[in-house]
Amino acid sequence: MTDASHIAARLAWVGAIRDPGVVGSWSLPDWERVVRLGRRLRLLARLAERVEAAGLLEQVPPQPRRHLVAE
Amino acid sequence: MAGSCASGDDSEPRAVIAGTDGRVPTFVEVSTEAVRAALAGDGLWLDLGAAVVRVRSDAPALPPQLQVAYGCHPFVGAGAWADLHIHLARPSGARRWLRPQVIFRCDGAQPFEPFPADTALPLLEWGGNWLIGQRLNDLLLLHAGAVERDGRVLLLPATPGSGKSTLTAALSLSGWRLLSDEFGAFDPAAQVFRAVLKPVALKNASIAVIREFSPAAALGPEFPKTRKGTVAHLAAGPDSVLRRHEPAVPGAIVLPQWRAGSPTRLEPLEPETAFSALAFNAFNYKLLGAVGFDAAVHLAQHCPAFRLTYSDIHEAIGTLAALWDDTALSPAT
Repeated sequence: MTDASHIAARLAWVGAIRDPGVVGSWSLPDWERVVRLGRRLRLLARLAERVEAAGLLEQVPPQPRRHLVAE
Repeated sequence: MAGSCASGDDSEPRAVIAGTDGRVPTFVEVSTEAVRAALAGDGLWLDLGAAVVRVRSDAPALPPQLQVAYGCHPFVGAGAWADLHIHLARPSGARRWLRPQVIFRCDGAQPFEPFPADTALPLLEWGGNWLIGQRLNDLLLLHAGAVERDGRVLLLPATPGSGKSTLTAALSLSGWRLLSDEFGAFDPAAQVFRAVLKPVALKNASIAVIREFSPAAALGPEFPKTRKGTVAHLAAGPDSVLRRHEPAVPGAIVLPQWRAGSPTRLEPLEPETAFSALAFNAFNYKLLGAVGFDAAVHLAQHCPAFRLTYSDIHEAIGTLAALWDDTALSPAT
């Protein structure tokens, strides 16, 4: 994998802000990475807002859900 | 205390490092070398009850300090989830060797100045408290000691220097279950308190008070000349650790105030006074907005509140035990 494709893969989760439906396929380790990166990039609140607006909050595992709610 | 932590934790779901009987060992049951190796590898998952903290470190001083301060906590070397990620690292360059230091990092940020390398545990504790106060905003985080007996929480909100941690430590050594000496973590959705079970940080004269109160108490090393003076950490007892996931309903609010030479006095307070004590002693009251307000109102309305002025810790403990046994103190609803 090239550096560019590696970075693109690592940031693929940002697409969930446009299409929150993808969060349903995320595993707990995926969520852990998203919560950490999202907070660091100041995007977690935006993601939380989009997931909640799409009615998907209850599909999020409880461990990351509390961090989305807390945003 | 640390020496009596061999009961382990059969309910621990995250362990990959288990004893020969399949039970997860506690920190006092493993070697310092095992702690050092785990910290230097993937890290250790400290389950505090309301949150899981993953700690990684190459700081040489930390493993034995952690073993005392978290003696009864399960030693977990792999986990599926952590709420907080902390990395205590030795700096590169001269500070690695010359008056060595240790750096606190979380998610790529370094929010504090480095500490002297031999004070890794105080840095972990203060930094960890700061992170909890910043991140766990699904809970109303009151700056308060919290202990439980008979399923009800005694909340001790107070400003620094009021004797909150000393009283919380003494209560935890007198049959009360420790939830936290720093966070009254109230879950507004379930209307219960949750444990944020870390060691009790004792400062200056409080250390000798607790040593005298309970000579067998599992107190860690003393760290002199920190920015808060001399600090030592009291490990949570085995019962508190085993029950750290068990919530408890609000019971009473007591505002402690240690005053030299004072007789022990317990005075009832109006709910309005209790409300302002809660709101002014919360880490995230303003941030939570209406949720924080409603939670503080709920606690003020449902918990009898008192001010406790004392100078003798034994008398203070006796007074609170009598208060708890008072039939007028029924569980909050």
